[in-house]
Amino acid sequence: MGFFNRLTNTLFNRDQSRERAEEEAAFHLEMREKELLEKGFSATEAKQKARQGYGNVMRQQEQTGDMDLFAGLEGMMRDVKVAYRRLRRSPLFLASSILLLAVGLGVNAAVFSVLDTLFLRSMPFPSAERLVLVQESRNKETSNSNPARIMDWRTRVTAFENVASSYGETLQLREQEGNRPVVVMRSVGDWIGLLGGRMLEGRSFQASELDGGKVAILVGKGHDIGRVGDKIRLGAESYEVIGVVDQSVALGDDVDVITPLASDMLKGSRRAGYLTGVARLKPGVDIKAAEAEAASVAEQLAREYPETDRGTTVRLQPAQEAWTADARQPALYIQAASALLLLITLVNLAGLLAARALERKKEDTVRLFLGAGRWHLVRLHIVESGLLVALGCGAAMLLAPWALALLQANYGDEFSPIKTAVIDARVFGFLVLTGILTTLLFACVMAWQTSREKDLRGTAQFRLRSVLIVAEAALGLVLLAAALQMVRDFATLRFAPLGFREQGLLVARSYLSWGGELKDLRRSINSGLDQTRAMPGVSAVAIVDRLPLEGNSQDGPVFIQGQAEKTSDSVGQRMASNNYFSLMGIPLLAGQLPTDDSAILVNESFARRYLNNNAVGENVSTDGKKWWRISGVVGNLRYSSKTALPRPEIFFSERIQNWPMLTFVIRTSQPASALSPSLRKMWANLNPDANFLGVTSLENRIDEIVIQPRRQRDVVAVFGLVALVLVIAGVYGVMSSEMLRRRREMGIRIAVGASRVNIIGVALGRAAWLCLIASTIGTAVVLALLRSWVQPLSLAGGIAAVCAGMILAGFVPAWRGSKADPILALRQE
Amino acid sequence: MSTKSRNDALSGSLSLLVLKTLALGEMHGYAIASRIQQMSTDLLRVEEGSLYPALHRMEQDGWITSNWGLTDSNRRARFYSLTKVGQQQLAQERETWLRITRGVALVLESA
Repeated sequence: MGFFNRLTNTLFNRDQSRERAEEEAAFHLEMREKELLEKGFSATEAKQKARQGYGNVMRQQEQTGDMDLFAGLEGMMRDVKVAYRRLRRSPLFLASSILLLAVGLGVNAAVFSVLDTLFLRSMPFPSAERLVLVQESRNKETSNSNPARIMDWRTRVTAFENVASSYGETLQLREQEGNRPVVVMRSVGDWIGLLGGRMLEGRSFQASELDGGKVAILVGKGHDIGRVGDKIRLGAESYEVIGVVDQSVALGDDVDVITPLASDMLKGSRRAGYLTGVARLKPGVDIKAAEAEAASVAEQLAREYPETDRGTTVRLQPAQEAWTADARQPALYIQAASALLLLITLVNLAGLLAARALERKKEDTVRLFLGAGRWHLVRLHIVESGLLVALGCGAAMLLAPWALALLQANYGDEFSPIKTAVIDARVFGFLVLTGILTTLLFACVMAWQTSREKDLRGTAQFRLRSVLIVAEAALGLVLLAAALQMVRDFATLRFAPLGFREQGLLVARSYLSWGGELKDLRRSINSGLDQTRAMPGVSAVAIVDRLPLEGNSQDGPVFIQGQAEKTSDSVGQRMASNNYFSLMGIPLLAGQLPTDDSAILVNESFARRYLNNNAVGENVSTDGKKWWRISGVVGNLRYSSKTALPRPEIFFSERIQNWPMLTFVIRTSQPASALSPSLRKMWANLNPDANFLGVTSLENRIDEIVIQPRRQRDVVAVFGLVALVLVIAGVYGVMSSEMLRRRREMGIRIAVGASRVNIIGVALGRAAWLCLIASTIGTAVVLALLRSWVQPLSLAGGIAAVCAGMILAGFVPAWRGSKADPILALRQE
Repeated sequence: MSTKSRNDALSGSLSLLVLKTLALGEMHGYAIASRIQQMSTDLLRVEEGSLYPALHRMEQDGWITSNWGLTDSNRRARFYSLTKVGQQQLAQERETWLRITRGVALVLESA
């Protein structure tokens, strides 16, 4: 209350309170004069006496006014100046703590901006909360939507205000200088309108153009593809560019062009599902209600198209949740790791500040004697830590964009929404809030330290710093155990048997258009294989749709003969030539490779799950009409880089089934660089629409695929190492000052005959105690929170690292202490 | 904050005297000064001017409030009165003062 009165008086009422003081003084003097006159003094005498009694008028008035000013702002400014001078006196401490804060806070600010973009803030679309992802669901497995079904849902589900869908493909943009690949998004329905895309130039699609019009809209600014009004050729078709739309409609993917999907595609088979469907719910419609209605429409469709639609239903998912689902886990890891790191940093700094508070005990005592209040001293400490944190926050703000760029560079490819994250006012707000909390933490530590007035020998200080160190080490242990587990997870993922041979093979990938004719595709494949086989140094070529770990190209349920009405869950349906298995060293476990075009292979996982390991000779079908005989069973392959679990798969020969994604596996004595030009030339001649992705060794390709878990591992591992370094530094600091504090004791011990080993033992005993407590707490935390993930071996590794670090950090001061000359140590007391 | 923690005895006792005086009722600065002198039968001579900064500070601390008003002789003056907080403060300062003086008196007598 007093403070605010003073502040407002200083800021707003200074003139007013001065006038008031003048008027009161005048009144007072006048009254006194009158009284003295009445007592019989002369006019001059009365005036003089009244003045004398009053004192210095000007000074009193000044004092009244200054009371407002000094008590309020000046005092604060003085404290800041004092704090600044104090900090400047120890530049090493200042620099290192600002650096620590900048790294800790900067990394967290960057991580916060990513989390904010992904999870906290709604997506940058008009009424984004009503957008849902529409997927098909069959036996609890979800997949992309079929174009015909999407059309049916759009017309029949009343809960949908609008539905649109799209898929992306890479086409060759034909230019005079040659072809180059561009990513084309094919849209069904008013995709741009649904997502509220903003036209930067030109116009959007008209209703008449939405159904396969030969028009194109460029995505994002600064394209070199063409201008509005240009004619461009994508693959075999020609399009007119009518506008440019902002990037948001690409949903974070790298899309260059949007064109409406040709209408004949929509009337095709009801089997394949490849569209990303998005719907906007009508205002006020609940997602569950919408899903229930869509499910009843799906039941209707199942009656109308029993062959294709039976068992298919609809799954709706809030769009934001769907688009960030993949990023959730890595984001959580990184958030947890960076938060832990920040905590460790802060605890470490708090320890340093506590040590400073002790060092300044003398200075504080002098201040107390000179009349400073205890509260004033505490306030000085708060101002000092506040100043430190403010400087740290400033540095963090400079560092944050850099840290964000690093995160975006490492994760942007997998989680494209990250690319839109920016360091903005919200991130600044986060920093300020964290800064305030940090200041409070520091202030508490320092105030507590200051309040221990009798602790001139630093016993309480040692206790406080020990508590901080234990907390720091326990947190560090958690982080290290998690980092180790991640390293081991990665090793499992990367080095566990992949099911095939990695060495000595090259892979050449080329993707063809999904819209091409089947006979062209088949011709491209056959001549491609022939020509590659004829290249110098090449001894064998096999073809497969996608390599193991690259995921699936086609999924779907299959019918199993003899198991009436029963279909499998969604299984991987691949294309592979017979020699793919021998070339890759994938074992044939039963039966033989197909010798005619009615036979296929299944993997071990399929045989075990659906056919009791007796798969050879059984028949399966993808449509319930055409049946294929299983001629053999091959070994399991890891199909995804994210899990080591195998998945049921069936393999069609390239003579039967063709997907336009071609991966040639080549055995050759040549390096990849030698083959690359001739392969590129071959594809350009074979199929001008082919998108040739280059040649590399199989090992390199596998490394590329597992890059994401590896980056995740690297980030957390670096955090873990930094934490270990901080713990070591913290323990070293505490043990050093502890040895200094107990110098006299050590002197006496040595004087009465303790050996150096004894002394080191005594000192290390302390470190060992701290270590024991920290390990217990850290282990308890890991067991309580991460038991399902962190394995005992990783935990043990974490404990070992932290203990080794702590003992090592304690040993150096102990050893130095044991060398002390007892006479010198005792004399100094 | 120097004004608040100033520990000179007079400044401390001045606020007690003012509070005690204002307990009698609302009055202006001159009246306060005169009343203090009167009551102490001129034993306490305060530099009168120093009364006003003290009043100002006490008002900021919420112990007293003030308003412009007219004196008996129809002269404009600032009138001060005690607040609830001020009454509590008075009781507290009185208690402290008595304890100190009693203590000091005991020491002086026994010596």
